[in-house]
Amino acid sequence: MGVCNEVTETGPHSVEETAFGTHVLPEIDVLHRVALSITRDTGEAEDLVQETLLRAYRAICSFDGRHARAWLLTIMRNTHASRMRKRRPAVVHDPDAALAVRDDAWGDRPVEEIVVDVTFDAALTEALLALPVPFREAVELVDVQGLSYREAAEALGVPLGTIMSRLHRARGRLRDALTQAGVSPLGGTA
Amino acid sequence: MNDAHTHGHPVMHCEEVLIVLQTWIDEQLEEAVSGQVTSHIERCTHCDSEAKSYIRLKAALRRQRSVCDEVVVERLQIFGRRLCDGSLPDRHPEPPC
Repeated sequence: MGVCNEVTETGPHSVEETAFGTHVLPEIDVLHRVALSITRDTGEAEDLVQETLLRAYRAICSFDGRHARAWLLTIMRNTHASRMRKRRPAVVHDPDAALAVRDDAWGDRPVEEIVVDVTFDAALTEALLALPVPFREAVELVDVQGLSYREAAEALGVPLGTIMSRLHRARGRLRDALTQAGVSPLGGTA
Repeated sequence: MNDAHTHGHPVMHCEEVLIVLQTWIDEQLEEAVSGQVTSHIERCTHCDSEAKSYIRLKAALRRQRSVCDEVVVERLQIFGRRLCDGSLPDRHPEPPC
Protein backbone atom coordinates (compact mmCIF):
# COMPACT_ATOMS: atom_id res chain seq x y z
CA MET A 1 0.00 0.00 0.00
CA GLY A 2 1.34 3.43 -0.93
CA VAL A 3 1.39 6.55 1.24
CA CYS A 4 -1.47 8.11 -0.70
CA ASN A 5 -3.80 5.44 0.68
CA GLU A 6 -2.74 6.29 4.23
CA VAL A 7 -3.37 10.03 4.00
CA THR A 8 -6.75 10.86 5.49
CA GLU A 9 -6.54 14.56 6.39
CA THR A 10 -5.44 16.60 3.40
CA GLY A 11 -7.22 19.91 3.90
CA PRO A 12 -7.08 21.93 0.69
CA HIS A 13 -4.31 19.71 -0.72
CA SER A 14 -4.44 16.51 -2.75
CA VAL A 15 -3.18 13.27 -1.22
CA GLU A 16 -0.08 13.47 -3.40
CA GLU A 17 0.67 16.97 -2.20
CA THR A 18 0.19 16.03 1.43
CA ALA A 19 2.33 12.89 1.17
CA PHE A 20 5.03 14.80 -0.72
CA GLY A 21 5.07 17.54 1.90
CA THR A 22 5.33 15.00 4.72
CA HIS A 23 7.92 12.63 3.32
CA VAL A 24 9.96 14.53 0.71
CA LEU A 25 10.26 18.22 1.58
CA PRO A 26 12.09 17.56 4.90
CA GLU A 27 14.81 15.66 2.98
CA ILE A 28 15.75 18.43 0.52
CA ASP A 29 18.78 19.54 2.51
CA VAL A 30 20.20 16.00 2.63
CA LEU A 31 19.44 15.45 -1.04
CA HIS A 32 21.35 18.59 -1.89
CA ARG A 33 24.39 17.52 0.15
CA VAL A 34 24.46 14.09 -1.45
CA ALA A 35 24.00 15.62 -4.90
CA LEU A 36 27.02 17.83 -4.25
CA SER A 37 29.05 14.77 -3.34
CA ILE A 38 27.91 12.85 -6.38
CA THR A 39 28.23 15.60 -8.98
CA ARG A 40 30.94 17.75 -7.35
CA ASP A 41 29.35 20.72 -9.08
CA THR A 42 26.91 23.19 -7.52
CA GLY A 43 24.83 23.78 -10.64
CA GLU A 44 24.68 20.10 -11.50
CA ALA A 45 23.70 19.29 -7.93
CA GLU A 46 20.78 21.72 -7.98
CA ASP A 47 19.54 20.35 -11.30
CA LEU A 48 19.85 16.79 -10.02
CA VAL A 49 17.83 17.56 -6.89
CA GLN A 50 15.12 19.30 -8.92
CA GLU A 51 14.78 16.34 -11.26
CA THR A 52 14.79 13.96 -8.29
CA LEU A 53 11.99 15.95 -6.63
CA LEU A 54 9.97 15.92 -9.82
CA ARG A 55 10.35 12.16 -10.19
CA ALA A 56 9.55 11.67 -6.52
CA TYR A 57 6.38 13.72 -6.87
CA ARG A 58 5.25 11.66 -9.83
CA ALA A 59 5.96 8.41 -7.96
CA ILE A 60 4.82 9.43 -4.48
CA CYS A 61 1.75 7.20 -4.46
CA SER A 62 3.91 4.11 -5.08
CA PHE A 63 6.08 4.92 -2.03
CA ASP A 64 5.27 2.70 0.96
CA GLY A 65 5.99 5.38 3.56
CA ARG A 66 9.05 3.69 5.05
CA HIS A 67 12.60 5.04 4.82
CA ALA A 68 11.83 8.12 2.76
CA ARG A 69 15.47 9.11 2.58
CA ALA A 70 16.55 5.75 1.19
CA TRP A 71 13.70 5.87 -1.33
CA LEU A 72 14.71 9.36 -2.46
CA LEU A 73 18.39 8.44 -2.67
CA THR A 74 17.51 5.55 -4.96
CA ILE A 75 15.56 7.94 -7.20
CA MET A 76 18.50 10.33 -7.15
CA ARG A 77 20.97 7.57 -8.11
CA ASN A 78 18.79 6.48 -11.02
CA THR A 79 18.24 10.06 -12.10
CA HIS A 80 21.95 10.77 -12.02
CA ALA A 81 22.72 7.61 -14.03
CA SER A 82 20.10 8.60 -16.57
CA ARG A 83 21.53 12.12 -16.88
CA MET A 84 25.04 10.73 -17.33
CA ARG A 85 23.89 8.38 -20.06
CA LYS A 86 22.32 11.27 -21.97
CA ARG A 87 25.40 13.43 -21.68
CA ARG A 88 28.07 13.17 -24.39
CA PRO A 89 30.86 13.88 -23.81
CA ALA A 90 31.10 13.59 -20.02
CA VAL A 91 31.30 16.87 -18.17
CA VAL A 92 34.82 17.57 -16.97
CA HIS A 93 34.93 18.05 -13.23
CA ASP A 94 35.81 21.59 -12.21
CA PRO A 95 37.76 21.41 -8.94
CA ASP A 96 37.25 25.12 -8.29
CA ALA A 97 33.50 24.62 -8.16
CA ALA A 98 33.87 21.97 -5.48
CA LEU A 99 36.27 24.11 -3.48
CA ALA A 100 33.85 27.02 -3.64
CA VAL A 101 31.42 25.23 -1.37
CA ARG A 102 33.91 24.17 1.34
CA ASP A 103 33.07 24.77 4.94
CA ASP A 104 34.95 27.74 6.39
CA ALA A 105 32.95 28.09 9.59
CA TRP A 106 35.53 27.57 12.33
CA GLY A 107 33.65 29.09 15.25
CA ASP A 108 35.47 30.39 18.34
CA ARG A 109 38.34 27.90 18.51
CA PRO A 110 41.95 28.70 19.52
CA VAL A 111 44.15 29.83 16.63
CA GLU A 112 46.79 27.12 17.31
CA GLU A 113 44.16 24.44 17.07
CA ILE A 114 42.83 25.91 13.84
CA VAL A 115 46.33 26.01 12.29
CA VAL A 116 46.88 22.33 13.12
CA ASP A 117 43.48 21.47 11.71
CA VAL A 118 44.07 23.51 8.55
CA THR A 119 47.34 21.68 7.89
CA PHE A 120 45.73 18.36 8.63
CA ASP A 121 42.66 19.15 6.57
CA ALA A 122 44.70 20.28 3.56
CA ALA A 123 46.58 16.97 3.59
CA LEU A 124 43.30 15.14 4.06
CA THR A 125 41.69 16.88 1.09
CA GLU A 126 44.61 15.85 -1.08
CA ALA A 127 44.46 12.26 0.18
CA LEU A 128 40.71 12.13 -0.34
CA LEU A 129 40.99 13.31 -3.94
CA ALA A 130 43.67 10.68 -4.57
CA LEU A 131 41.37 7.82 -3.54
CA PRO A 132 39.78 5.65 -6.23
CA VAL A 133 36.29 6.99 -6.96
CA PRO A 134 34.29 4.12 -5.34
CA PHE A 135 36.28 4.54 -2.11
CA ARG A 136 35.95 8.31 -2.14
CA GLU A 137 32.20 8.12 -2.72
CA ALA A 138 31.76 5.86 0.31
CA VAL A 139 33.79 8.18 2.54
CA GLU A 140 32.03 11.29 1.28
CA LEU A 141 28.55 9.90 1.84
CA VAL A 142 29.15 8.34 5.27
CA ASP A 143 31.88 10.43 6.89
CA VAL A 144 31.45 13.78 5.19
CA GLN A 145 27.70 13.90 4.63
CA GLY A 146 26.74 11.73 7.59
CA LEU A 147 24.60 9.11 5.86
CA SER A 148 24.14 5.69 7.45
CA TYR A 149 25.66 2.63 5.76
CA ARG A 150 22.21 1.70 4.50
CA GLU A 151 21.52 5.14 3.04
CA ALA A 152 24.92 5.26 1.34
CA ALA A 153 24.30 1.79 -0.11
CA GLU A 154 20.98 3.01 -1.51
CA ALA A 155 22.57 6.14 -2.95
CA LEU A 156 25.30 4.20 -4.73
CA GLY A 157 23.24 1.12 -5.60
CA VAL A 158 25.62 -1.34 -3.95
CA PRO A 159 25.19 -3.89 -1.12
CA LEU A 160 25.67 -2.80 2.49
CA GLY A 161 28.76 -4.99 2.84
CA THR A 162 30.35 -3.28 -0.13
CA ILE A 163 29.90 0.11 1.50
CA MET A 164 31.48 -1.15 4.72
CA SER A 165 34.39 -2.74 2.89
CA ARG A 166 35.05 0.34 0.75
CA LEU A 167 34.74 2.61 3.75
CA HIS A 168 37.15 0.62 5.90
CA ARG A 169 39.73 0.30 3.16
CA ALA A 170 39.38 3.96 2.21
CA ARG A 171 39.94 5.12 5.78
CA GLY A 172 42.98 2.89 6.06
CA ARG A 173 44.39 4.45 2.90
CA LEU A 174 43.61 7.94 4.15
CA ARG A 175 45.36 7.26 7.41
CA ASP A 176 48.41 5.90 5.62
CA ALA A 177 48.47 8.90 3.27
CA LEU A 178 48.27 11.33 6.18
CA THR A 179 51.10 9.59 7.99
CA GLN A 180 53.21 9.72 4.84
CA ALA A 181 52.39 13.42 4.50
CA GLY A 182 53.73 13.99 8.01
CA VAL A 183 50.43 14.61 9.74
CA SER A 184 49.24 11.78 11.92
CA PRO A 185 45.56 11.23 12.67
CA LEU A 186 46.68 10.66 16.26
CA GLY A 187 47.35 14.36 16.63
CA GLY A 188 50.14 16.84 15.89
CA THR A 189 52.74 16.08 13.28
CA ALA A 190 54.20 12.64 12.72
CA MET B 1 42.56 -9.02 29.23
CA ASN B 2 42.54 -12.65 30.30
CA ASP B 3 39.32 -12.46 32.30
CA ALA B 4 36.49 -14.42 30.75
CA HIS B 5 34.16 -11.52 31.30
CA THR B 6 34.74 -7.85 31.94
CA HIS B 7 32.01 -5.36 32.75
CA GLY B 8 29.55 -8.18 32.12
CA HIS B 9 30.69 -8.65 28.51
CA PRO B 10 32.57 -11.65 27.06
CA VAL B 11 36.18 -10.81 26.28
CA MET B 12 37.14 -9.80 22.75
CA HIS B 13 40.70 -9.96 21.56
CA CYS B 14 42.53 -7.24 19.67
CA GLU B 15 42.27 -9.00 16.31
CA GLU B 16 38.50 -9.29 16.68
CA VAL B 17 38.15 -5.72 17.85
CA LEU B 18 40.18 -4.29 14.99
CA ILE B 19 37.89 -6.02 12.48
CA VAL B 20 34.81 -4.23 13.82
CA LEU B 21 36.45 -1.10 15.18
CA GLN B 22 35.34 1.22 12.40
CA THR B 23 31.78 -0.05 12.52
CA TRP B 24 31.85 0.56 16.28
CA ILE B 25 33.05 4.14 15.67
CA ASP B 26 30.21 4.60 13.19
CA GLU B 27 27.78 3.37 15.90
CA GLN B 28 26.42 0.73 13.56
CA LEU B 29 27.36 -2.36 15.57
CA GLU B 30 24.79 -4.44 17.42
CA GLU B 31 24.47 -3.32 21.02
CA ALA B 32 25.88 -6.51 22.54
CA VAL B 33 28.99 -6.50 20.35
CA SER B 34 29.37 -2.77 20.81
CA GLY B 35 29.53 -3.29 24.58
CA GLN B 36 32.28 -5.87 24.16
CA VAL B 37 34.30 -3.51 21.99
CA THR B 38 33.85 -0.68 24.49
CA SER B 39 35.02 -2.91 27.33
CA HIS B 40 38.08 -3.98 25.37
CA ILE B 41 39.05 -0.45 24.38
CA GLU B 42 38.82 0.72 27.98
CA ARG B 43 41.53 -1.79 28.86
CA CYS B 44 43.69 -1.94 25.74
CA THR B 45 45.92 1.03 24.95
CA HIS B 46 46.71 -0.24 21.46
CA CYS B 47 43.08 -0.52 20.38
CA ASP B 48 42.25 2.69 22.20
CA SER B 49 44.94 4.43 20.14
CA GLU B 50 43.60 2.88 16.94
CA ALA B 51 40.10 4.05 17.81
CA LYS B 52 41.26 7.57 18.56
CA SER B 53 43.08 7.82 15.23
CA TYR B 54 39.94 6.84 13.31
CA ILE B 55 37.76 9.13 15.42
CA ARG B 56 40.05 12.06 14.63
CA LEU B 57 40.05 11.10 10.95
CA LYS B 58 36.27 10.94 10.96
CA ALA B 59 36.01 14.33 12.67
CA ALA B 60 38.35 15.85 10.08
CA LEU B 61 36.32 14.33 7.27
CA ARG B 62 33.21 15.85 8.80
CA ARG B 63 34.87 19.26 8.54
CA GLN B 64 35.10 18.70 4.78
CA ARG B 65 31.35 18.84 4.62
CA SER B 66 30.20 21.29 2.02
CA VAL B 67 28.32 24.33 3.07
CA CYS B 68 24.90 23.87 1.60
CA ASP B 69 24.37 27.21 -0.02
CA GLU B 70 21.29 28.49 1.80
CA VAL B 71 20.10 30.31 -1.29
CA VAL B 72 20.22 27.11 -3.34
CA VAL B 73 18.49 25.09 -0.63
CA GLU B 74 15.81 27.76 -0.35
CA ARG B 75 15.34 27.68 -4.14
CA LEU B 76 14.94 23.91 -3.94
CA GLN B 77 12.46 24.24 -1.07
CA ILE B 78 10.44 26.68 -3.18
CA PHE B 79 10.61 24.27 -6.10
CA GLY B 80 9.34 21.48 -3.84
CA ARG B 81 6.51 23.62 -2.47
CA ARG B 82 5.52 24.64 -6.00
CA LEU B 83 5.33 20.95 -6.89
CA CYS B 84 3.04 20.59 -3.92
CA ASP B 85 0.75 23.51 -4.64
CA GLY B 86 0.43 22.69 -8.32
CA SER B 87 2.05 25.83 -9.70
CA LEU B 88 4.59 23.87 -11.75
CA PRO B 89 3.09 23.03 -15.15
CA ASP B 90 5.11 19.87 -15.80
CA ARG B 91 4.70 18.04 -12.50
CA HIS B 92 2.73 15.20 -14.07
CA PRO B 93 4.25 12.91 -16.69
CA GLU B 94 3.20 13.47 -20.26
CA PRO B 95 0.59 10.97 -21.40
CA PRO B 96 1.99 8.14 -23.52
CA CYS B 97 1.68 8.59 -27.26
